[in-house]
Amino acid sequence: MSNRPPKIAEKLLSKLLYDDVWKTTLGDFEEQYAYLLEKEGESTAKRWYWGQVLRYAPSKIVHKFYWSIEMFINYLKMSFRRLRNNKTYSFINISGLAVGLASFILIGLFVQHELSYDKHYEDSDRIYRVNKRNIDAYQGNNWNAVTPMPLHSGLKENFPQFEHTTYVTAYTEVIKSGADSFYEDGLYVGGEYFETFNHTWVYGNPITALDNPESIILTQSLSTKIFGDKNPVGESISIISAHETDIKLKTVTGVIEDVPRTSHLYFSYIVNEVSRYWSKNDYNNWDSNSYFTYVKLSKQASLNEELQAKLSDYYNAQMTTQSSYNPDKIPQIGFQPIQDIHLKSTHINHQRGVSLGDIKYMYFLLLIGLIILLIACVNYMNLATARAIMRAKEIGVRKVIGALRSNLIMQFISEAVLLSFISIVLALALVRILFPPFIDLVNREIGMDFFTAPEFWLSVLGISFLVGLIAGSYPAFYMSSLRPSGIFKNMTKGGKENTFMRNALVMGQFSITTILIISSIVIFQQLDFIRTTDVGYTRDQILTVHIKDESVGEQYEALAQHLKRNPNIQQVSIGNHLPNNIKSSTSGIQWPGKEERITFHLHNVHYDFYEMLDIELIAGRFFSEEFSTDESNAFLLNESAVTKMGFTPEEALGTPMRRLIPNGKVDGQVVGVVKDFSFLSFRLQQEALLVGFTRPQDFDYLVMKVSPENLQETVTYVETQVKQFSPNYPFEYAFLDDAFDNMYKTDLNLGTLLNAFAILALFIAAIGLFGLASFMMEQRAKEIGIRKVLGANVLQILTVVNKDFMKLIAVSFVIAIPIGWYAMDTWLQDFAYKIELGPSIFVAATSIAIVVALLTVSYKSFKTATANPVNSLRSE
Amino acid sequence: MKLLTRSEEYILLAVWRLGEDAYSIPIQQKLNEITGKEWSLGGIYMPLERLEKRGQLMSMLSESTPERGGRHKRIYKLTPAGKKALREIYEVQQTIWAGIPQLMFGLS
Repeated sequence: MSNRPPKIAEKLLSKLLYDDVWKTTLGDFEEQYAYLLEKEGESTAKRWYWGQVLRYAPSKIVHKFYWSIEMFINYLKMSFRRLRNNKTYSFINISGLAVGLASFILIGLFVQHELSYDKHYEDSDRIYRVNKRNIDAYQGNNWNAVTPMPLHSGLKENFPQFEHTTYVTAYTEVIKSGADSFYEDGLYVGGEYFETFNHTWVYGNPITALDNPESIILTQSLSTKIFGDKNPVGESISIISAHETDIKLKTVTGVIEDVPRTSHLYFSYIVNEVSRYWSKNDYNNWDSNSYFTYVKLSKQASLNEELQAKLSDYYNAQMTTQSSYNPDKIPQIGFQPIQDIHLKSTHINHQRGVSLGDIKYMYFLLLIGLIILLIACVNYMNLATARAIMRAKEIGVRKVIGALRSNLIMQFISEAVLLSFISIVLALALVRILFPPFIDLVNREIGMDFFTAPEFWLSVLGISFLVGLIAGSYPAFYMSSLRPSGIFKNMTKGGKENTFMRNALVMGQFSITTILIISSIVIFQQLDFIRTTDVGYTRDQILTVHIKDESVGEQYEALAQHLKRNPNIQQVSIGNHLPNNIKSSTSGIQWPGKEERITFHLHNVHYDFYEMLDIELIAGRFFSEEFSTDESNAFLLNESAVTKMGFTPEEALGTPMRRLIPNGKVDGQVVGVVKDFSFLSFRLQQEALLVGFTRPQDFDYLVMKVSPENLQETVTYVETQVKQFSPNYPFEYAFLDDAFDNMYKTDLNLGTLLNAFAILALFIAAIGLFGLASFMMEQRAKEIGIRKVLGANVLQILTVVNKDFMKLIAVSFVIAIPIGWYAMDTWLQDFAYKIELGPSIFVAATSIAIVVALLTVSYKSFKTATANPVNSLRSE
Repeated sequence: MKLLTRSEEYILLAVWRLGEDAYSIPIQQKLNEITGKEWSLGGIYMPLERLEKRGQLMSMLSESTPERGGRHKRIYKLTPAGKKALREIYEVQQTIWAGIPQLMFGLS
């Protein structure tokens, strides 16, 4: 047994006793303890020792508390005085930090929203979606989110590791109740949907709600929209759907709470998949991939490699025996956690009904937010250390009185934290104002309810504390290292080291800012290039109407007649795609002399479609009503297709071509060759295109050339006409140029955001430079006065004082240009059609930075240079 | 000059008696021995500190010793001022008690 007192008690006691006495007192206690131990036993001794701890605690705690509060109040008082007495300095720091914090909070809110997708289900972490990857180049190498219907039941029956499985398909349909009709997003579900995804039920019972194939479950907002506040269970609703033959009558069996916006499956009603007309074809069909399959892993199971291998084997076996897939070309399957779907699915084709983000975009935004915050912190560091001399006396006196270095560090850090807390108030006001336009730009619907969430306030407090800590750390360590003897002897300017550090920080700020400016210029030029460059067809004055009602097809001729009666509608046609996004493609095309397989994009159009868009013809003719055979066997090709096939345009004319379709073939011959036009994203290379004649029942888009006058009237006219033929469907129209711009909306928004942030960064860096310059001018007022007295003119003085700053800026360009070039070159790699990264971009970016820097610095130096030297030299 | 209190007087005497070994624990034990009461350590730290402040005691740190976990002792020593104060209180007591023990307790 040891005769030493308990370790913890000893430790505590040593903390509680005052520094200068504890050495001996602790020894006394220990001796006393040993004495008691011998005389009265261990328990008494221990009790006595702990008693000492308790006796000493209160006075120590009170003492410590009292003094830290006392000192803190003193620090606050000093900080407020400094803020009040140095208005410019305070303004620069507070506004910089506020703008930085506001940007960061905005970005943080958005990123947080994006990261919160699909976390609202119970057991979200155990739910996976089954994806598949085609290994047949013919179908593309991409992952697909859609799988065959029987997969869900197969998995459930053969793998006890899966608690529940379900399959889902999404449609946008018309919901009709009485005279009201709405476009709504619907979910067709089968298997154990409600067991896999839990919803909160307002009315109805999850177990029986889907028992009847004709039942429908509404979300609360749709229920309110149709039925008001009453319980709608038992009411009837009809659904009009493009993929159904007739209107379906449904009975409401339940109401669930609205799906959060942060759900990759967003819908306003659920119906039983069995009720779909086409459903029965898919029951045992392993060839058709049309469903999202979800599985819920049981608590004990893990999706390890062993299980995945078994799942693959099972899927392979099923596909080999049940499907018509060539055994070598059976796709792979993979399991994706549903929480990853929103941000990590850019490599997966989804078809429809899924809202997606991109994790790369999140990192990018966060990086920008951090950069701006950092630039603001650097402002604080620079100004605080530059002004350290002004506080040298204070530091000296505190040190002489007995402040330890740690006390001074505490003081300067608490000063920075205080400043950061003042800035956060301003930042929150900015967030409030800027949140709606910002969220609009990132294309999401997020409410402002975060302002009432305690987590939000906690993280805001945390961030501003952290920013204060970071901004205050370097100045605190620097200033607390000043020696009182040095301070009092000669009030020297900050040491060499410090100047070097400050210069490096300014350089860093301007490098980053210049990179941001370069990036935003490049992005804007590229987007402008895309929008203004000749895509090979006219986008102006083209009105497009998306027709989902298949019954319109048979009446197309009549509809066209009606439309043409309006003098403002010059031409009318139909097609299966708009010319800016011809998605369908096939390599199932044959022609005599075919040597290699070529993937053709497919466009099916009616008469006048290409003429209307001013697409240039280089050989042959367009589809024409004068040739009765055109409707059944004419094709157009584009230039790329002809080149790939190894023909000249003239040689290609008359070539017989055969297109294989699922249950047959379409034969025809080439009647014309058109010049290449950009029918895909600018990100992709020009591809071969085969244009066929559309049967009216297969078209998706009604396209019209309209005259620029009375556009609104024309649109209304078209709406009334279309409504006559398709009364149950809402009217959806767009002008082609808008539709075109929409394709680049993400990029355009990215560009606008980056531009805004680049301007903010430049602003913060500039005010920081302004602060630094004003301080330098104050310091050098005498020098400048003497120069003037000796005969220097204003220009010479400006040159002398601006030179130092300009050197810094020049060095920052040397850093920024290669980085900016590399970053933008990488970004442009994505585009098949892109601008040159010429010197003019870099000249423009650096000019902006240098003009701003020069103006900022010169404002102060000009003032000093023109001041009367008497004022600065009078007192010594 | 204020007179010493009783506990101060005892402590000064104990310090003097203990000589080289005059630090808190023996002082405490000596006091317990003399007065027959239990003195707490805190109860002697305060007077010791007071006396030192007044210049009637001086202290120094000793070599560290293993039985105290390697910690120093604070050894106290009577200063001339302390001696003077003791002498004063002795004289006062002499005067107050003069003749009284014989009369009151029948002592010779």
